[in-house]
Order: sequence, then structure tokens, then C-alpha cells
Amino acid sequence: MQQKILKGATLAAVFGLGWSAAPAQADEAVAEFYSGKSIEMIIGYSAGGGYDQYARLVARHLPKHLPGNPDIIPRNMPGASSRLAAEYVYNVAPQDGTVLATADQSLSVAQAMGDASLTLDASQFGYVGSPVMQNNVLITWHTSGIETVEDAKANPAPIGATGGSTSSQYPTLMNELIGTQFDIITGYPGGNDINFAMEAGEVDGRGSVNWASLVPLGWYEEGLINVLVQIGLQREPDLPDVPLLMELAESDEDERLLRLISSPTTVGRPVFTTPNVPPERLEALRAAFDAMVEDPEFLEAAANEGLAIQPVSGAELQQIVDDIIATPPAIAARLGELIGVAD
Amino acid sequence: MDASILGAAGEAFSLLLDPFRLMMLGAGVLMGLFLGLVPGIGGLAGMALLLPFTFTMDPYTAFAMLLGMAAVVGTSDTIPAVMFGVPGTAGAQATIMDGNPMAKRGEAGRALSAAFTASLIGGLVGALILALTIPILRPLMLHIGSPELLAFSVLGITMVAVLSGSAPMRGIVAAGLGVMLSMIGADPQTGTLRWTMGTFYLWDGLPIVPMVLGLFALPELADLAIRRRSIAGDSNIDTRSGMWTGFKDVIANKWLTVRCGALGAGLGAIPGMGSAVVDWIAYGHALQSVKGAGKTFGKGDVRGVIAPESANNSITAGALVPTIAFGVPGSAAMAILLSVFLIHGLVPGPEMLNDNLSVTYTMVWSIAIANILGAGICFLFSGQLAKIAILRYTLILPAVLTFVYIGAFQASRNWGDLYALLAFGVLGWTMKQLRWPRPPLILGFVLGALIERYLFISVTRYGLDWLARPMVMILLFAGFLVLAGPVLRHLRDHGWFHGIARKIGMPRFRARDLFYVLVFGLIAYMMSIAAGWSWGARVGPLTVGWVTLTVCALSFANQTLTRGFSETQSKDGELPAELHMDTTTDYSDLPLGVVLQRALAFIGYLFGFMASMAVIGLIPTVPLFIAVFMWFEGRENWKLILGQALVLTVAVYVVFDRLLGIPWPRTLLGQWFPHLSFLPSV
Repeated sequence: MQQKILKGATLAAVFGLGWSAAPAQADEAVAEFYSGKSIEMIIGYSAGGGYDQYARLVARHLPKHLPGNPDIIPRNMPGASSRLAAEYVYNVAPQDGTVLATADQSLSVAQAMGDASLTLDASQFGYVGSPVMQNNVLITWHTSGIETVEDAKANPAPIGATGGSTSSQYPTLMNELIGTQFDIITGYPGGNDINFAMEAGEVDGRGSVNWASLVPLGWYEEGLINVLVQIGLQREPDLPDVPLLMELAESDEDERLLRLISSPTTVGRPVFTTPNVPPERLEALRAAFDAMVEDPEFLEAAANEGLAIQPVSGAELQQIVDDIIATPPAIAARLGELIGVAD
Repeated sequence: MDASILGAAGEAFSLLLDPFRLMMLGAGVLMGLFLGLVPGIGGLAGMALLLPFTFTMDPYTAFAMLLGMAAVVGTSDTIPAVMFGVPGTAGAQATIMDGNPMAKRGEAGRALSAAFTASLIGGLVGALILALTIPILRPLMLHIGSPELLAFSVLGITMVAVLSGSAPMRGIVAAGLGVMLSMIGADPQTGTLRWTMGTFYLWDGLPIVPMVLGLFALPELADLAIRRRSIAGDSNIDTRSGMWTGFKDVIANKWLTVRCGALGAGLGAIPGMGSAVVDWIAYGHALQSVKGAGKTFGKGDVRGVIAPESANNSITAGALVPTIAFGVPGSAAMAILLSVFLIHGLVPGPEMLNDNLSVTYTMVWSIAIANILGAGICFLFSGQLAKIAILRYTLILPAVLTFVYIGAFQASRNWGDLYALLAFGVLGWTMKQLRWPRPPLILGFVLGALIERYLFISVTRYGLDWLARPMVMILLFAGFLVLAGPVLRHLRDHGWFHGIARKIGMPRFRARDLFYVLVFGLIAYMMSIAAGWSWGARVGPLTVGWVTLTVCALSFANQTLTRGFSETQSKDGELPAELHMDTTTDYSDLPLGVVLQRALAFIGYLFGFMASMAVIGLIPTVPLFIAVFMWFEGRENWKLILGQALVLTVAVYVVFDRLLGIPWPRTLLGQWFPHLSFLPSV
């Protein structure tokens, strides 16, 4: 018995030593690989949007924490709501850890729903981390008379949306599963246009908006909007009394379905690398990301640009994406039927 | 206007006088002039490029630099349009119509000078309108909903009738084709992927840059390669005297200049209505309102240069209106400017018109000062620039073609851009040769998308009630008037229905009629695919498709059935006065065999460029292409060849690789020899 324990201790000691020695070696190898190289940050959207801003912020601050301190060069590759970039990173880009990317948080949900346009498997990307996670919300204008989900069940209300985006998906699901009577007016080219239509009284509300992008407008504090529901896996600290979409489900099956559509907000603005990156480099990228989000210099730069930081680690991202993809096919297929899926 | 507003305007002016801010404004202006000069890249790329530099600036400086850049792109984009017939940005297409014929006549100096003066005045008019309307922007705009935006777009598309010259039905077919092409991609109504042919490239629709460059730039460059002469041929070149004449031209047409400036600002305020159509609408307006325009426009009338140039410089001010007042970007470049607001903690909306009024007025001043600086700099160089028209084509063509390729490629950074460029090049060249009007295609492309969007919203939201809104009624009536004039005149010229009936005889067919068959077939094919979509996705394409097919058939019948009559008439020497809405090229001095041979060689160079890009990458292709072209076409001396190759390659590398950060496609060379990937774009 004692021998066994001793043996165990020896083993532990050996492993322990190994554990402490290996990272140092790996670090050196990683540093040697990255030093003098440059990393490309492929951004799946055009310049100026939220994904772009976060990706450029990361590109500026990550090198400091990465062994070998390579430059990171942002390159915008917009198209097909970032699928073009995601497919490029999955299929074409070199898989040695010299390519980072950011793309749509909903890719894994589209994959789970069996989107035929995707050849990629989102769980194969090496997730580095997301600087932020934020819920989406469904809002109505203060003059609409629709202040709660109950009001929306009792009265029809025109809601501005863009076809094929979350702004039409959320109200469609609520109409189908919860019994709201939203009259979904699709065709608006973007969120700002819906905001204007709401102010001008053309529509009563907006089907989806990122909470963080709404905060600077000050509309919530001034009482200009009602937040009916938030879409995410946990409530925003600012919105403790607004229900989560999945909490409104009337059956377990519906709850699974609404959880699936609510998961991407947790993925935030993901930064990932190609599949098959050598594990020590992926680990180094993740460690650098985790160190970066603690770095006061990074936090100050983010604050200066008005970007909120609520980090999600690479390992967490990997877990969330795996969970999304593991959704039972029947549920994912039903979601696809309800909100439509590219084929 | 009360004192607080004047105070804010004055305070804004003194804020801008800070030397650092003025310097950054100047830097923005230089950048804007450069981007306008290079075909295919314009204000949008400039915004993306300069944005990161503004993070550390205060908001006044950031806006001064960005708006300074955006405001003058429309000043310098005239230069390639006039000199080569290649639009520097989409906003300079209409300038080609009369500017390029002037350059070919040796009047480049006059055309450039008139264009810069008109740009300056147009830009100032835009800034003034913005300054005066700031206090009433929000209440004014709250009356403009989707139905009104729809009516504006309909009014815009009625210009097709004016811009089709003597071929209204062919104009409508071209416009219909443009509308159909605009519907490619994920539609904003249902999210259906329309005609994407299984590629991601088409998800966001065809980008307009390769389309404009293909339709207008490639045909002109092909002509240059076929004619093998300098642009101005043997004409005398005016420089000093021409510049003075051009300036006086604008003064003589001051009201046209001001009207078009106001038009540009007004239309620029409508989201989605960018410079690609505003220049055409201004040109159409001039064509309608200027006396005798029907006879001289398209043949080098300076008023055809003044109108679009004045309008495309005031667009920036107009596009700022919805951006400042409601945070709705008036153009794609303004969408990037919006992020500057947020970075500096400014919220578009009421605050910009109260608490932050001084910021808003620095924007107005920035635009005004930038226009003065930009026009001034262009003036200084226009005497030298005009001399480009006498350079050999072997010096000009490789450089311009290189930029056309790269300009098209940076639109969405995809091989698809280059295929689109070539496809539209062939289409544009064919349309030009067969005398089909090209402007309606662009009008249909830009406005068709807007009309479908706003019609869908208006009908789902208001049913038919939207038609009863007063502003909608006024605008639609104005559109009716624009349409009625040319249609009635056309009918009258042909002796009303009786006269037309008289001309009908046995159909005669020519090889050129094949183009009808191709267009008809393409549209029918697109409709057959559309028939399978959900109602919201197919209603637009099918409606437009049926109208286009009908008019296409009518136009075909008109051509073939009246051909007997018109051919006898022209034999008798009674040629009816024709207004052809396009530049024309005359190869009659060259034997057909030579024309074909040179055209094939030109196409060979186009494909060669792309093949080389696939194998060794875009940047190494630049010097190779220049050397091959200059040596084989012109036997230029090697010093000149190496000099030009080096300068252009470095310029392309710095601008497109380092500054714009374009992700280059993978090359074969890079796959075979991964070690070579340190070379840019390999």
C-alpha cells in the first residue's frame, strides 16, 4: 500500500517536473517559430463594423503577449456575411498558426441546422478567445404601446427587420413558439435604417440589436425604448429584469431550440485560427489572449474606442461551439424549418 | 438662423484653424486626390485606410481628415475620366461622355479646368446647404419614410428615358437588365440567395466597381489599343488658354452648376443613392434643361462635364445629413464614418444638433476647405496633366490597365471581381459598338435595388395607402413629367402612331440582332430560376423580367420591321437627327482585319494578366506585364520600361499591400514553392 503511494508520488513528481519543464521548452519553440514572422488577421467583414473594431484591437495588443512577438496584420475579406473568410481560413489558409480570423458568431448554429453552403466544421477551428460576449435584445419604441412580451401577444405590432438575419429570426420564432403577434416588416438594409424607421414611426420596434451597441445611444436610460426580451445564455448585468428568450419557452423541446438560437451571442466576436495548428502554438495563442484581456494597456485602448470587454477564453469558446454542434439533429432541423436555412 | 447657431459655426471655424488640424485636413485632401485618380478605389477605400490613424486624434481632427479625403475624391476622379475615358470612381462615369471627346479634340485643358471649377462650386454649394439645413434636419427627415424614399428612387429611374437618347426601348431593356443584376445575392426581404450560382462571391450582390470599370473603362482602353495613337491624336493641345476658357464656361453656366450642386446634395442624402447614379441624373438633368443639348451632348459639350462634376462633389455633404441626424449612413463610406462617432463618444442624433453643434459645423467647414484645397491643387497640375493626351499609348495603357485590374480586385478581394470586370468589359464594348445606351444599365442596377427594397417595405407596412402621401404624389408626378417629355418627343419625331405604322415593312435581320436574342435568353433564363423562390423573393425579379422581356421583344420588332424603311431612307441621304447617348469610336480608317487582330491581342493581354496573376501573384505580375506590353507593343527603350515598371510596382505594393492590407489569393507559385511566400502577394 505504502509502496503504491510512494510510487504514485514518484510518478507525480516525475510528471510534475515534466509539466514544469515542457511549457518552457514549448514556449521557446513557439518563440522561435513566431519571431520575425507576421500573422495575418483575416476579418470576415468590411472595415468599421463591430467585428472589425474588435479584431483590430486584438491585432494591436496580442503580439506583446505572444512568444516571439510577431506582427499581426489585419486584412478585411468581407463577403457572404463572413462565410467567405471562414471558408478561406478553413480550406485554404496555411495551418501553421500564422493565420488568425474573426467571423460570424452564428456559423456553428448554421452548421448545426445543416446549412448546405458551408463545407467547414466550426468545431475544427482553433479558438483563441473572444474579447466580448453580449446579448442581443428585441426592442420597441416608447410610443408603440408594446412594453412587454404580454403586450406583444395581445396586440399586433410592426417590427423592422432584415431578411435572413437575427432581426427577422427572433420575432419569427416568438410568433411561432410564444404566441406574439409581431408583424415583421423585412427589407431594411441594416440596423441603423430600422432605428430611423422606429424613430419616424414607420415601425414599432426592431427585431434584434446588440445590447452593447444600444447603450451609447442612451435610449434605454431616457425611456425611449422598451426592452422586451434578451437573447443569450445569461442575463445582462444591466438588464436583470428582462427575460431571456429561452426562459419564455413553453416546453422542454422549445427550450432546447431557443437555447440553440441564443448560444451564438456567447461566442461574441470570436478570434480563431485554422484547424490542425500545432497544439503548443494554439496554447500559446490562448495564453497570450488570456494575458492580453487582463492587460491595463489593452483595457484602456478598448475603453478609448468605446468597446466593452467581457472576455471568453478559447477553451470556453471551443466548448460552446461543440455543444451547439452536438444539438440533436431533430431540434436543429426544426429551427432550420422555422427560420429558413440557406440551401 | 439664431445667434447660437452662428456662434457654433464661428467656433467651429476657429477650432479648425489649429495648425495640426489643418495639416491633417490637408493630408486627407492629398490622399483623397490620389484615390480619386486611381481607377476603382475611391472614398470608401480611403475611409477604411485612414480610419485606424484617427483613433488617437480628437474628433475635430479625425473628421477633418476623413471628410477632407472624401470630399475631394470627386474632384480628381475627373482626370482619368477626361484623359482616358476611364472613370476614376463610379461618380465620374457621366464626365466621360463629354470630357473624353473634348480631350480627343485637344481640349483637355478646358475640360479639366471646367470640371475642377464646377467641382469646387458644387462642393461649396453642398456644404452651404448642409450648413443652412442643420437646424431643421431632424424634423424634416422624420417626414421621410420608406414610401418617400421609394418615390425619389422612381423619380431617379425615370431619367432612363432621358439617358437613352434615340433608343428609349433599348434603354429600358438595359435598365431592366441592370435591375435584374442588382437582385443577385441574398435578398433583404426573405434572405433567399438569388442567382448566386453556388458561390459566396455573389452573396452580397455584384459589386459596382468591377461593373463600372468593365462597362466604361475597358472599352475605352480597347479602343486605345486598337487605334494605337495618343489620346488626342494629332490635335493641337490647349493648356493655358484652355484652362481660362474652362473657368469662363462654368461662370457662364453658373445656374446649371448651382442646380446640379443642390441636386447632388439632395440625392446624396438618400441612403444607397451614391455617386454612381447621381452623376448620371445630373447629366440627364442638364440634357433636359440646357438649350440645344440634344445636338451637342456626347460630342464634347463642356456643359456635359460641368453638370456631373458639380453634382458629384456635393454628395459628401448630402450623405452626411442622415448620418449626423439619425445615424443612418448616407453611403457606404459614411458607414465607416459612423464608427468614428462612436469611438469619440459622439452619438448621431439630436445631440449633434445641440450640444455638439460645433463638431457638426467643423464637418461642414472641413468639406468646404477641402474642396477649395482640392480644386486648387488640381488646377496647379492640370496644365501638365493635359499633356498626357499626347503621350504614346504604349506608355499609358499598361499603367492604366494595371490600376483598373487592381482597382476592380480590391472591390471584394476576390477572383470573382476580375471575372466580373472582363464580363462587363465584353458587354460594355458590345453595347458601345451596337449603339445600345450604357447609362441605363447603371441606373437600373443602383436604383432597382432601392426600388425593390422600399416598395416591399411600403407595401407590407402600408398596403396601398402609401400612394396617398402628399410628397409621394408630388415626386411621382414629377417622375411622370420627366418621362413624358422624351416619350412624346420621340413619338412626334416619328409622326405619331400613324407615322410609325407607315414605316413597318417586311422584317430584315442583321447579325447585330443576335444581341437581342442573347439578352432575351439571359433574362428568360434568370426568370426560370426565380420562379422557384418564395413569393417575397420572386415577385420583384419576375415583374421586372416580364416588363423587360416585353420591351425587348417590341424593340426587336421595331428594329427588324422598320429596317427596310430606314435603310432606303438613309440611301436617299435623309438621315434623321439621332441622339446617341454614348461616346462613339470610328475605326473606318482601319481595315477590319487589323481591328480584329488588335482587339484579339488586347483580349490576349487581359487574359495574360490574369493567368500571370494566378501563377506568380498580382504584384510580381505588374512589372512583368508592363515590360511585356511596352516591349512587344512599342519597342520602348529599356530604361523607360524598367523605370515605369519599378515605380508602378512600388506604388502598388505600398498602397494595396501595406496600406489597404488586401488579402491576396493563393498562387500556384506559392503552392509549389512555399518558401517564396515572403514575396508580396505570392
